[in-house]
Amino acid sequence: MKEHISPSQAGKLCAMTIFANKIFLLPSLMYEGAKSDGFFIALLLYALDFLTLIVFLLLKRKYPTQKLTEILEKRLGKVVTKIIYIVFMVFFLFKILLTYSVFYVYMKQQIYQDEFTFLTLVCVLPVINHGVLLGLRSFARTVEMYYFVVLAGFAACLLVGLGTMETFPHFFSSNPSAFFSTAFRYVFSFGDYLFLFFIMDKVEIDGKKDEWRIIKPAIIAVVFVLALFFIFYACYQVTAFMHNNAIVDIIAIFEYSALGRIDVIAMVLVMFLCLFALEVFHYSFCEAFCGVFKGLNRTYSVVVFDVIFLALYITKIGRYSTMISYVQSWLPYFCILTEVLFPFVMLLLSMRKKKGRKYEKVF
Amino acid sequence: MKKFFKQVKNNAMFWVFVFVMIVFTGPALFAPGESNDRAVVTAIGVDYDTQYEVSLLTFIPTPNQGYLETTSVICGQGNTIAEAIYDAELVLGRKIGFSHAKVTIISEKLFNDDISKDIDYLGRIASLSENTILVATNETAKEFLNSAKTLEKDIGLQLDQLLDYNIRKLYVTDTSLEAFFKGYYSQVKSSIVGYLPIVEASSGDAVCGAQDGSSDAPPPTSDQGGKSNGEDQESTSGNSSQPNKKISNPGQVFLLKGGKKVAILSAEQLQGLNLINKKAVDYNISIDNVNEGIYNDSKLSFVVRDKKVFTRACFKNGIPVFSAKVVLGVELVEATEGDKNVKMNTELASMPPEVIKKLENKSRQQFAEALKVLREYGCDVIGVTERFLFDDRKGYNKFLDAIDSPDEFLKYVNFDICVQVEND
Amino acid sequence: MKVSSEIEKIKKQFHNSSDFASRTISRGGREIGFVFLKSITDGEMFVEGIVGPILSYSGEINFQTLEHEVLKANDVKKIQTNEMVDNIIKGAVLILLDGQKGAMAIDLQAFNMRSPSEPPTSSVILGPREGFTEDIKTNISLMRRRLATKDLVITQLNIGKYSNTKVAITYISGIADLKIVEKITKRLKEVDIDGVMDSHYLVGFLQERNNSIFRQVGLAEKPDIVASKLLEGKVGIIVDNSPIVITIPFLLFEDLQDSNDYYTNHHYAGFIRVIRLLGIIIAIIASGMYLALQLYHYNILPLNFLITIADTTQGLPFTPFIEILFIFLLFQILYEVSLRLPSYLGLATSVVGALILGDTGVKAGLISPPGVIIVAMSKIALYVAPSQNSQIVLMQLIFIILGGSLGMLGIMAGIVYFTNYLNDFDSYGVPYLAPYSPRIRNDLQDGLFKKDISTMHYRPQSFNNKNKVRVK
Repeated sequence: MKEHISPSQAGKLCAMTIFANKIFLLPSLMYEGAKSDGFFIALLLYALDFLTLIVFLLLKRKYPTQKLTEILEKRLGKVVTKIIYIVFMVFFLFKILLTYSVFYVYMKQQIYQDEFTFLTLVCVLPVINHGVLLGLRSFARTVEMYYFVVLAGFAACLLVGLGTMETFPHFFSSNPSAFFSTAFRYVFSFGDYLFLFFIMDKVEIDGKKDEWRIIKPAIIAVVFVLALFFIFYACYQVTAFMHNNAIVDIIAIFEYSALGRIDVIAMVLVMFLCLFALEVFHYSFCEAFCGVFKGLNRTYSVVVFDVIFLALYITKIGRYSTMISYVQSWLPYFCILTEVLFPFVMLLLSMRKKKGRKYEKVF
Repeated sequence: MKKFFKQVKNNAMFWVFVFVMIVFTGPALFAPGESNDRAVVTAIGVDYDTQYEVSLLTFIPTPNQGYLETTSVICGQGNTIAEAIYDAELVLGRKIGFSHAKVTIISEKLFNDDISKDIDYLGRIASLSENTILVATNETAKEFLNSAKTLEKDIGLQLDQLLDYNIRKLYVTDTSLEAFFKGYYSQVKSSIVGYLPIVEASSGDAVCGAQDGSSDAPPPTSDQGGKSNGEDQESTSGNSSQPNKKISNPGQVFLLKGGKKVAILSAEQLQGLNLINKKAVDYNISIDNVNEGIYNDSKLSFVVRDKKVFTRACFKNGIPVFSAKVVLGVELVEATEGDKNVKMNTELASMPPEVIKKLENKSRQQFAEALKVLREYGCDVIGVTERFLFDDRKGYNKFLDAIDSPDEFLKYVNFDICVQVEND
Repeated sequence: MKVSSEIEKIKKQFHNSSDFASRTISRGGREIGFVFLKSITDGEMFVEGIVGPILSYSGEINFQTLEHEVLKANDVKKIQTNEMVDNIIKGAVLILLDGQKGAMAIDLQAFNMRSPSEPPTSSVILGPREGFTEDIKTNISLMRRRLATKDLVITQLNIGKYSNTKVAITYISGIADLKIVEKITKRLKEVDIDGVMDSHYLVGFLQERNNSIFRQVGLAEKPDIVASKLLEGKVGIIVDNSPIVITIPFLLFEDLQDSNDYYTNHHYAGFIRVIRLLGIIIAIIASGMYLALQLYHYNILPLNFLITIADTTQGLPFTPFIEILFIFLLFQILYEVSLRLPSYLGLATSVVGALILGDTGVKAGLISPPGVIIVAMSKIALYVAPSQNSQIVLMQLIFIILGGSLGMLGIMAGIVYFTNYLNDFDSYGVPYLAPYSPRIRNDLQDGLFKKDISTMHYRPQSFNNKNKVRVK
């Protein structure tokens, strides 16, 4: 039971992953490709993501207590299951690398200009390792605890941005080809609900009310992120491409001298969000790892993750510029497997009828 | 050994903490604070002669001293701004912190060419706030910064406070680094930058107002700016400033097109343009020769207390029409007959319709005159293009295809301005 | 069996202790022996209730007549020979009769005890002022007075090889979860210790994680607090010789609550709890955050504050990190000194000492005024939750090290780390950070904001309890 979480906690984990990946660099990169229509790209990709969530809920209805490996092995065989798990190991690893590298650059630019390169890593890695080793329930509860703090901080940033907004963004200024090519290019930044499949046996859903408890925080997070896109494009318009830290920039535009720079709110918010999202992706990586190497426990997966992560980071594969180039080059093609094909297969599997047993209620 | 490893495994986080303490706490214990280790810059000046000269109004921490005594102007030269800043850093012997810089002063000379290439580097400094206010000056930025020190000494006003006032009350338009780039990268490539010339001081004035400034301020010419003092090539402390020079605040702004100065708008022209800016209130309008009602050859001064602006852009028969309805809530604050009789307050309340009409005409006239300048240089700094983009983007794009350049768009726009004055 | 030889035997077992007393009287040619410890028995009652009635009784003296006709005492019982020593230790007077096995034990225990008074750390403005004393009987009576119900169960154990301390487990049958009661009883029965001097001695045996800096049991000094916790379904552990009662299960949030909150307007109580939370946050992270700002994030500080800090710290012999550690240690030493010195000197060391040392330190150019203010503020803020004092001081030090070594990200990482860690606590099956993590909607009624008692319809659901309804 130590690994089991409530549907509301699962929803809040989704919210954290939704927040963390898109509030920095993405709005600016999307502006370069599709001007303010980046807002609609986000809307479109969220809609696609939402379909993944629906597929997850359908699958969960059919297999309420089973692990993903059990379902896949039964239906697709052991080899295919292992391949899928390996693909997702890579997927989550790159999600972590992307999230971390963007976060690192922000930290380096804003507060650790002269500090040791690995200082950020030393703060982040032990904490996410510890969270993963303690188990899903522990960090899901932490996320639940800080969820409202995060929402309040996010809302404060949006309100400040809204206060400085003088006009609306110029929508429909890009052509369809730029729109869709940009959407495809940044598809890797989405696909946040996929981790749910890997913890599906640990999320306790009993009835539609519980399904709604997952969906609600996710929708709130999507609304917040879309609001951020909207306000960011409205505030900066043509200079949006120059601003790489959307959530911080919309608050930094406003200065109140008695308090100093109030972007410290965004700074703290970003630290929380990145730590939480990294914990979620790290846990998902470890679940995928344990699915591939069944004899090994979580401690091994954490050690393996650390070794791979550090190796990629030291060899500069996991660094910011490399990651951005990967995101724009081959990762979108990779995402066809993870964000399109995989949910489709899951949808087919969820079509099969099977009755599940009910859970006891847990906190 | 086995026991030790078992202990490590059982208390992994404790050992991580110990590791952090060994690796990071040791050096941190002996590290000086960044608050002491950085030269905190509060204003940046950029000049160009044969090479760039960056002047930095820098705060040097000194025990038991006030802000004034602890600021100095430090200069550095280089072929690029980055080099010049590095040069200043060498002089200071410590890293420069830009996070508290609120003003960037650029000498007028640099505005003769596209300024964006000069300040591009400033835009890239992550710690420099995008809200940093851009200001142009007639002399060198270095001289300006030295005068800024006297400004505070004499009237207790910091430079950024003065500029903040200007932005809120005079320009009523953002003139920050961000606003410059916004204008520069927009379709119309136009922006405005505040202009604060330095003038010879008379009888110890710290800052000259708009009325004086317009007369005292020398005509801004590119020749006067950028005179670099040869003695200050390496560094200049605040003590070497010329005490007889003062900052003037005539309320003027530089009108920029493609980052290049094309005209200077006077305070009156700016006031005219701000007619359709609903934030522009609390300014004065005066009308002369009033011979209506109780007034006999009087001069009346009004203050615009509030303003409502309704704008709309459309194409009528293929011609772009920008209509604006402006409702001004005014208050008569002074009435003089000749140069002596001041009417009593009770009498000020009555305002004949003719006076109102005169006021409306005056406002419209001011706007029309200022608009002429904008049309001449194709600088849309009043958001007309923006309005067309919102209200009729298709029509706008179609119209652009028919004309030579988007810069000429303003020339084709018919302005239908309706001013309605209400006596408060 | 001869009385005198039996008395000798017992005396030997007490190693001829000086407070051991025995007396023999002859009645109808039969010897009657009395054995007791002078130091813990009531001498007056001994004469009036035991010796007097025996001497004036004309009938035959045996254990049966003694119990039913002769003795004027409440607690009279027949005991076996092997129970004699235990009863003497507990303050009983033993009556031995010639030729009869065993003894009659009369409980005449009497100690010099202080009467219930208001405990210094739990004072209230408008509310009951009685606090627990060191006497378990008094403490149980205080509980009984507040919970006059047959369902108040009190189970007694003796713990401590030498101290033989009485420990009472108390709960309300029909509300408390019996599984928790069983678990506590089992743990206490397994305790094999030489002596229990205070309830804190048992805390270690009752906590599920002994190596943690976070306390996992509740401590209360007032019967009204314990009674209200029992009504919530918790279990109380009263230890003889200790005015502190342990309550289990414990939620961290309990230390943010104060008995005052329940005796005042609930809106005001909510406001005060927010202040307390702020106080705790300031106490834990203010010093570390100040250090982080000074060392790594000067750019966040407003210019005027930055100027103040830079000017005042310029020329100090210490680096910021050492300065803060120095001030932290200085304040902690003053705190320890003020606790141990006589009260008139204690006051001098706490207030004047801090002021004089702080001021002189600043003037001497050893420390900076902002540093003194920040550390002093975090030290004062600590007392918004006095029961968390020891934990918060340790957390202060940890966060000073994190802030100084790793900056603000280190502090945030520390916060997430400790929250994860606390969320892993499952003391007696209860989430330690409830009702916020996990979020238990019902229990938020008495969370950071408090509802009026008339609208708190249900008992807390953070832990198992029977009979959920509290107010109908």
